[in-house]
Amino acid sequence: MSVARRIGSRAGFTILELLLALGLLAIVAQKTFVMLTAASKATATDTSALVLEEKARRVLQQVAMTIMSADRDSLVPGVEAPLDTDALRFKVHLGVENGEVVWSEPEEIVQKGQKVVWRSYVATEKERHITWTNLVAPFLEGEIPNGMDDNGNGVIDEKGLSFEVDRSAVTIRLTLAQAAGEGDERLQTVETVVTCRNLQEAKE
Amino acid sequence: MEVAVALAILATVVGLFLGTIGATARQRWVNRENAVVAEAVCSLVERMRNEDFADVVRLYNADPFDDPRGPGTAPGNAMRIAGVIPTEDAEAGMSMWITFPITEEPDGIEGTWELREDFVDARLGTPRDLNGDSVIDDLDHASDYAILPMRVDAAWQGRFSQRTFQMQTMLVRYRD
Amino acid sequence: MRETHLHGRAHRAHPGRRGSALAMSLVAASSVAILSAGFLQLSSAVTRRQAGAIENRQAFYMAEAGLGEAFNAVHIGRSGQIGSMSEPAAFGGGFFWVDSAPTPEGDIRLECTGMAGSGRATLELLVTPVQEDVALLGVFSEEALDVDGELLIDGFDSQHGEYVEQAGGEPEPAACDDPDECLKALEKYELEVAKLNADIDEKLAKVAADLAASLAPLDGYLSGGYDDDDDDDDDDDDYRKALEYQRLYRAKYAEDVAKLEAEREKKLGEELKSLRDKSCDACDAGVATAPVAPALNGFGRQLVDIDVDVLRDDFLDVQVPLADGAEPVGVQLDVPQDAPSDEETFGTHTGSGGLLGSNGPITLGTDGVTQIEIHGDVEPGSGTDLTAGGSVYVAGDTDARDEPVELPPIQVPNVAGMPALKHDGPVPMVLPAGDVGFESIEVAENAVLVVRGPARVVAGSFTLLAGAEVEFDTTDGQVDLFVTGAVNMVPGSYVETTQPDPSQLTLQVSGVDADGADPSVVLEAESQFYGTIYSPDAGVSVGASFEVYGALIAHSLDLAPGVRLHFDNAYSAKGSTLPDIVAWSVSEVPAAVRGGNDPMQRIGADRGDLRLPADAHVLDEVLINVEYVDDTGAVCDFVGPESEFDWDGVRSVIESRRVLIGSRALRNEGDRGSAAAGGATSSMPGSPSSPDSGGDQNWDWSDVDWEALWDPWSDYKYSQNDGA
Repeated sequence: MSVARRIGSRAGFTILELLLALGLLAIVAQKTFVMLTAASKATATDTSALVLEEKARRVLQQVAMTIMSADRDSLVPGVEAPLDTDALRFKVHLGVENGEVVWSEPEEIVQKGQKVVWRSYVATEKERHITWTNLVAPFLEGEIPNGMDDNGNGVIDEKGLSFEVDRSAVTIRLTLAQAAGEGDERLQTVETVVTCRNLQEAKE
Repeated sequence: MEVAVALAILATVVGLFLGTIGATARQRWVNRENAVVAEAVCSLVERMRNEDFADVVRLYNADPFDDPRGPGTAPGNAMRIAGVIPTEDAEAGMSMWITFPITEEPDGIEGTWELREDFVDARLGTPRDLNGDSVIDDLDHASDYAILPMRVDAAWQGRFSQRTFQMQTMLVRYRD
Repeated sequence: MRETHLHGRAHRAHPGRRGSALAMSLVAASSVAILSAGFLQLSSAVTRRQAGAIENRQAFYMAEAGLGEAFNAVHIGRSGQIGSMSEPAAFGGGFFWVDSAPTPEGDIRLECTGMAGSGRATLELLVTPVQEDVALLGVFSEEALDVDGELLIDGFDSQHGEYVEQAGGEPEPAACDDPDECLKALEKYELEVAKLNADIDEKLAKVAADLAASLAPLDGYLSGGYDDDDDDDDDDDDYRKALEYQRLYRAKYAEDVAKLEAEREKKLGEELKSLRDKSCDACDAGVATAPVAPALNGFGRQLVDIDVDVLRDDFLDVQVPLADGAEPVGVQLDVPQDAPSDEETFGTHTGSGGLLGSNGPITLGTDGVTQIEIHGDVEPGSGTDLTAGGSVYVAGDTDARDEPVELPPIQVPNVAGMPALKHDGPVPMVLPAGDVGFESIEVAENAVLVVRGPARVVAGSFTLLAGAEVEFDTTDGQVDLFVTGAVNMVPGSYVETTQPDPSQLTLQVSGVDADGADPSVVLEAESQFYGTIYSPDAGVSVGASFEVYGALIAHSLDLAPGVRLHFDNAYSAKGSTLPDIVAWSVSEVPAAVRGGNDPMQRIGADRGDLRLPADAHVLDEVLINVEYVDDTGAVCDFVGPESEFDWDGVRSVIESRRVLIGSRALRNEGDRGSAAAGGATSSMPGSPSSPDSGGDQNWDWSDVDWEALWDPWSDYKYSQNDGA
């Protein structure tokens, strides 16, 4: 019999070796697991905050681009600070036919509960609607319904989706709210200003 | 030996993973700052569009004495951006500046500004005609400009480094 | 006993188990690596999306910059084409180009694509270029004009008040709607005023009489005077008392008079004002000429004026001085009368601002006797002149026009037609606001037709018989009357315009005179017509009772003796020169430029070759006629394609006009209405067949006679859709 075979025939771990190795592995694994868990949690928190912010900006952009194409004179209501509205009705330009501008039927962007909804052919049989998000907070971040401007933006008791009209410009404010676990709520507020580029009186 | 190597490998990998998390967290901050600044700049441009075109230069230039509603009432050419920290060398803590083809102290007189067609700034596309007569002259066109190239620059102290952002557009007299 | 070499055995594991820890760690490492990669992927995607969104917004404002550049180009008369996809304009860190194309309706569609980093945006703007108003021609005849009867032409500015004010007079009040009611209200008012005055005056007289009665007994005490030197102290006391009583009585009198006058004022101002307001200004003016009945006091004498101060002084010795038998004084309105001048024949006029023109020669009053006054310029046709007799007065220039005027055809709106309208009833007929069309319109004797604006009325013919009346009510908006046939307003008919703003009313006649026929537009009604009359293909005959305030442009003019025409200079200052924005919208980004991070790479262009926006305007389609001062101070002019003109040598522009060719046809001499807008072919040699070619560089200009082809009036608003 060769040396190697003799040695190999005697290979194996002792229990002590095994226990030591397993113990080390367990400790390392546990530490690693803890670190990974913590990192994952932090990551998940960051990710959901990131996603919420991105969602808020995306919805805001959708609203903004729609209003940019609207006819300024068709905005209803055309309220100015300290008043605001959570629903804005307007018409957009569809095209030109036989030399006359064709305007859409009134469209509307409105906060319905926790949703931001775009509607066309409002209150008719042909009504269509698209929900852009269902995370809208009942009131804008920092605002409570007490008849005062709590968040210092010049508007009183504005809802989670708020429109404020100043001449051709519309200030759009949006707060999204998401449950963050353990009863907490994560809020993300975004705001932008857009001007309506169309004016129906320009061409009858 | 193997275990040691394995542990080393694991440690390295975990370290890299944690590094990735850190990098993405940093990136998230950068993205947020970029978005906040971009939104502020775009909103500023929209607010400028909302003003009477003839008043835009007087509202958003550095001269406080030509403000349409009284001296010092206009926003001026520099403003802060909520949610970002201005750079250390920023004057009065401003983070955003508007650039028109305006020459400061054109005749050597302190505190004077003129909207000039012969202002040189290749990024703004100047020198160029501003009042529609197709001629580039050396006169002040603050009261008869018909087209207004402009740039908004933003600079702020990001979480990890100084950052900048630019937006360029042209305002035009669309309606009397 | 077997030796145990633990250490040695620990170094060397069983071959079958060698590497297992490594394998496990590799598995674990792979898992973590996959996790990391996944997380990195998500983060990168979000970052890319957010960065892309920001760059898209930069591209959006880049596209807005391009639209602004193009809009400004259209404003100054260019096509609006800026660069192209293969050669965009460089602006800031991005690029844009604008495609410009005319629409069949005469609008211009501007589509701009902006690129910034990975961002792309395409925006569209539809604009209507502004055309000059044909009313700027003033009083104009396309054919030669020969006037041999009295004529006055002057000008005014409706933005600065009514004509009569500018002519130095007082504006007449508007005509009364219901004279009977007005008269009743006025009579009642007069009655009440007379009663009030009589009542107050009676009370005043009583107060005056009371004062006189109170003071009379004091005369005796006052007559002695005060003498400190005598010993009669009682007399002195009585004197002082009498003085004190006198002072008190006079103060009471003054107070009573003031109260009564205040009562009179209050009743006239508050109670009777409502009666006064029931009558209109026109009737009030008439009343003002009526004599006011004199007020009489209780003594039967007229109390013309009560001067309290005079009374106070006079009570020392005499009674109140009352006028006796004074004649009643009426209030007369002064009728303004200009001091007649040597050349005055027509009454008041503004003395300036008139404009008379023609495409042919103009002949005025060659008999040397007929009074003709043109308070303004006379512009005979190109190559012709003005021939005027000795009795003709022209205040302004008489230079011939540089080029003939081409009167654009009328765009009659497409309105649903109704049968002929013949109104002969006693009740006024009102055409409400809106668009309406009739086969013909005829208003019979004693019938009244009211056309209420805003309205567009189309009629095959328009006739006012003797005694008929038409009222154009432009209070709420403009009225445009289009007549495709003859217009006949016979003598004895009436035409009324409610507002003194000529821009609110147009009479546009698109009918054509038959060869050798009399003018088909006869304006012999009685009228102060505030509006524009435009008849490019038919002659117009104007009677002396038809006075026009605004503009009158016709194929030919036949002016009866005594006609007065007043050109509204506000036409030249009216309105914006900016193109009208029809609509703005977001468009789809061209597929050829979507995607990619580097716009230059995407479109295959070299950054260094790109031009700045102001230099990237496509000028091949633009014909320019410019008079300017160059760098040496010399006055120069240029007619030709703007692409061949060097603006660098221009110090200042005296006058410039641009005409687009290709999209709006440049007509040759004698070729009217030849080409349609949108898709029209130009008469230019070598020009592109399609107007939206975007500036074809291959046009051959070498054989073109630019001077002969220049037609600055080709861009009148009525010229769109020629032949379309």
